[in-house]
Amino acid sequence: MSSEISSGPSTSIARFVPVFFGAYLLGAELGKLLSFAGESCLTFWPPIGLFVATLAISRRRHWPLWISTAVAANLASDLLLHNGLLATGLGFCATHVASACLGGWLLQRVAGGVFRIERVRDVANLLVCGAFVPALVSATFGATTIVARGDPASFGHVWWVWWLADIVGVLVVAPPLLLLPSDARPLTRLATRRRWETAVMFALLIVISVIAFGAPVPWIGPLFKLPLLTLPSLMWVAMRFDRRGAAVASAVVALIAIAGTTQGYGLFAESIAAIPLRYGALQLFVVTSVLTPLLCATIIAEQQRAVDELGERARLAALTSDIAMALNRGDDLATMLRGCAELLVQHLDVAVARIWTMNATEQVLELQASAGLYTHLTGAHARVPVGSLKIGMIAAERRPHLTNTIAGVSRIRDQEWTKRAGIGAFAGYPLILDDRVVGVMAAFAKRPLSDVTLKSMAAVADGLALGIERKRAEAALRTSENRFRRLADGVPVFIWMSGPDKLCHYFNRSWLDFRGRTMEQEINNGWAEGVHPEDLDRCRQTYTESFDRRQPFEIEYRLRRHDGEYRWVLGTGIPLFASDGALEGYLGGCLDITERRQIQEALQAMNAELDRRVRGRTTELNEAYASLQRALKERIRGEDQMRHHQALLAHTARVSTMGEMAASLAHELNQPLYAITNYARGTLRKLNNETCSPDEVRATLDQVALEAVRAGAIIRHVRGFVRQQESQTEPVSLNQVVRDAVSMTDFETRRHQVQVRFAMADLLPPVEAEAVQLEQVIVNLIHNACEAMENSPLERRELLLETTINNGSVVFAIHDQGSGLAPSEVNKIFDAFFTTKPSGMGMGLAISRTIIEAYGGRLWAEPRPDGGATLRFTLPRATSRVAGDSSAAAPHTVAPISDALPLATSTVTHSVPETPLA
Amino acid sequence: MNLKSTAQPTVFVVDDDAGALRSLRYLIESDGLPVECFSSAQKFLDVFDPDAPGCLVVDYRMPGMTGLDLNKELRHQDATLPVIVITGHGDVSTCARAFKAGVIDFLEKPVNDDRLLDRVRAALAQDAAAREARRDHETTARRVETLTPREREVMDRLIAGKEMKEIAAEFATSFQTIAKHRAKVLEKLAVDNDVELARRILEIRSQPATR
Repeated sequence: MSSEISSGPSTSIARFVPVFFGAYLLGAELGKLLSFAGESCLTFWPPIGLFVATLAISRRRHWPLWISTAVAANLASDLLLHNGLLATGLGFCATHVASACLGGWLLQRVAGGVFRIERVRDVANLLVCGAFVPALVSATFGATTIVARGDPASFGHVWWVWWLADIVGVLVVAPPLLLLPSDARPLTRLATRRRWETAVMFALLIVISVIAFGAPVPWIGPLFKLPLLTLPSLMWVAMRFDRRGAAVASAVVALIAIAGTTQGYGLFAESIAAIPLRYGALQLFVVTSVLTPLLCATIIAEQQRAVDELGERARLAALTSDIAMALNRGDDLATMLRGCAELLVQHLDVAVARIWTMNATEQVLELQASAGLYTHLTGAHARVPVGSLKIGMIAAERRPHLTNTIAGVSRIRDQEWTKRAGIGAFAGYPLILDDRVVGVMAAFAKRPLSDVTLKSMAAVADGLALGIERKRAEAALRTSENRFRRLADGVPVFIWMSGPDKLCHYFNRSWLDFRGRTMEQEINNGWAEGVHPEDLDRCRQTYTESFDRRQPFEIEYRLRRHDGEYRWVLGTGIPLFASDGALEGYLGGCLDITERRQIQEALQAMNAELDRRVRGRTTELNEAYASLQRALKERIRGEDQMRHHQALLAHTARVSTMGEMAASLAHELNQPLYAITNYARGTLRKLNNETCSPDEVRATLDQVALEAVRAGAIIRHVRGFVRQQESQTEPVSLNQVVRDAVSMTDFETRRHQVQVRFAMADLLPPVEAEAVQLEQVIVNLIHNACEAMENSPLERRELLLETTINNGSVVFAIHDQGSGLAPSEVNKIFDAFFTTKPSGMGMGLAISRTIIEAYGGRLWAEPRPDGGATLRFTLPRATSRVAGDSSAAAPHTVAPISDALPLATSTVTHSVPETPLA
Repeated sequence: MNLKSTAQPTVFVVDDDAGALRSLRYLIESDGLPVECFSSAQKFLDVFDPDAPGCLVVDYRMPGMTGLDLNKELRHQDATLPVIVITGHGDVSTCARAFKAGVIDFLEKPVNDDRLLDRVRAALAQDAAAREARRDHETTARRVETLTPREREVMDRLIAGKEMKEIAAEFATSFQTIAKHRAKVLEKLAVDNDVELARRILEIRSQPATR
């Protein structure tokens, strides 16, 4: 039997059916031969060991085959060879099958699959699950069958004998069979010395056993202790020849012991003869001599395995560390990978190790390293497209491929080669970094690769992926750095770089060429030797201060050229920061600006020269200017005279318009006269009719007096107006005039319950006017404002009088909070006869405007945003002329004339409706 | 100041000058006439009632609407209120336009009190007469409404100056029938003869249709 029983196809199983049948039959015959005579059942049953062992290492689907074969062999033995009864034969068959199946099932159950003797626990399992428990079943069944057959023996005795027979059968036969398929080297491959040792060992064992168990009983006396010698021998075998040797040796000893004892020879025969029913001694001896060496050998094997594993781990640890070292050496990529491949061959006992790297753009794996049997990098595997061959599949699927049976694996390119070279195992790993396949690592080995090996290969694959990627990144960095250097060397600007320690570590070719020095001379603080001594301190200070503040800087200084000449350069520097914000140093550039400076200096010199010349010319100009001013003064004097004439002309013109003025004033005067006449006539009538009381006459006369006063006021007004033409203006204080006007209207403001407030500018310059007329204007404005507020609530009846100076003019403003002005009325209110008041004449504002304009000022009205109105007039400040100059206001009298004319004509337009009569 | 309540004829005075207005009221009241004063033309128009009897004394020169403007507005409203205009200084052309516009008189300040009061009384009389005449017209018009169509036809022909014989011939009826119709017409319109009939009817017809 070989391992193919468990792994091969069922066709090859069929070949073993006759072998099994024969062995079973042989075992049955042997059992019948080596049993004590005179017992109702056999005392040794080897087929049960064969049966249990076969089922324990077989797959379940093959069990029916073995069971049927066993039944056939059993029946053949019982019925054909021993003429037994069919019913009894079938009963025994059923007993054996049941116990063997129970044993096989239990063993596979505890092993979790096919049962093997690998560890101490497996030996115990074999004893309990393979022997003791199934024997309980078969003993019960068997004893029942025998008693049912009518045998005189007691059930207990038969049961006891049967049970022992089965246990011994299992323990003697099963271990050698179970251990045969192990991977230990076959006997034929042993060294000569080992063969001799084996032969001597077995010979010795057989001799001792035969003497101990084959000697006639009378000889036993002196040889009484001989059987004990078998144990040391068996232990020796167990230690020297592994579990298989121990199992075979103990089986041989057990068989000889059983054979001798059953035939009435040897140590146990005497005791059995003496106490016929207590031959448990033989069985105990068999069990001990089988189990002890087996246990020893198993323990030794287990420890050996642990040691092997440790050794392997150590080897792999060494491999991993070597690989790590290879990855971290500063070699180029190919050297690094070759080193790794060689390490794989060296440490893992593989025949060939190869490493491909991924060319991502072409999607091709390029062979970079090959070690072991083949070291060439050419041939079919030099460039493997992703997805083709086994290697390409690994890259495409991103999964490792591992097999210890390479034969039949598809996509292994050369099956012939694997057979010829004796390659049995293959392991291929994709090299993956961050989801990216960067290559493939593969190994071919003659011997199967253990789990630990595969695990460490996986670790190596991870390291390789990282290493490849790092090498690539380094290469890219080198390329970019080279590019930068070429760029930096190529530009005509001087470039330098410094580290976080402020020391310069790089100067470009332009700088070095300019300075005529080497990099070694310039780095650190070597450059400072080239700076002009006068500029050096400033230079250092600027650099250090900017550096400490991490700020860019710009500085001009002189730097010595290779020919010794100091050239002006403009140097700039900017801080460089790493991605984590830490300062990496400074990057700076310098430009030779000597020419530029020269031009600048030349320009400055030219400017200075120009300045000097301009200054010279200015003196001449000043003189010319002085004479011009003199000429100008002459002219101004002439103009003054002219203006005087003009003023006289304007005055004359204005006097002529007064005629029309007088006409409109006459109308005003007419009103009180009309009223007086009416009162007088009315009273006369009443007196004539004698319907008039003295009180009524008194009241009427009051009215007459009032109207007369009004007429007087108008006459005074007219006189004042006309007097303007005759009287002379003088510088007056507007503030004083305002105060006088307010005190004059005190009665009226109090009557209207109006609060008067002042906002008078201090240090107001005097204005050129006649105080009385100005006073009239202001009185008129106050009067108007009071009337406008007649209907305002009490708290709003407030009057603000304001004087200010603006652009050289003196400004008076009166703000009321009255009924306000519609925008359309803003200009209309100055028309003669326009009035919004029930009792107004419509002349006040017109005349006021005329007066203000006669003094060269302006009078206008503005609505206020919060209701109410502002009336404002400006007057020019008095010039310092000799008092009494009749033409004081003359420069401004031209304007009022033209304004006065529409005033006069407006009386006509108002009095003549243009609409035709109906 | 509800004008409707004053069944008595009233002198309405309009002047923007308070002093003048007061004095004028005093003068007119001294003659025993009731006076109502207004400080502007608009204020007067606001309360004006065409059915209130009286006359209007108005100052010519006023801000906003002048005296003549007010007169025009009243005519526009078909009011028959007689208007007297007083002016500060009247020139001939203004005076002429005033009279053309239908004012009773155009007086210059300061006015002669006798003349003013004469004109006021005359105006009141004219107003009363006009109102009387209007009432007559209305009565006549109501009476004409009571005539039968044939009677109206007969009346129209009588007013046109036709003889009864001609009318009878026109209607192809007897003289007696027409005579009956005429008698009925004269009776219904409360007139004594054909001449009076014609005057009455022509008076109505010369009036604007609206009144």
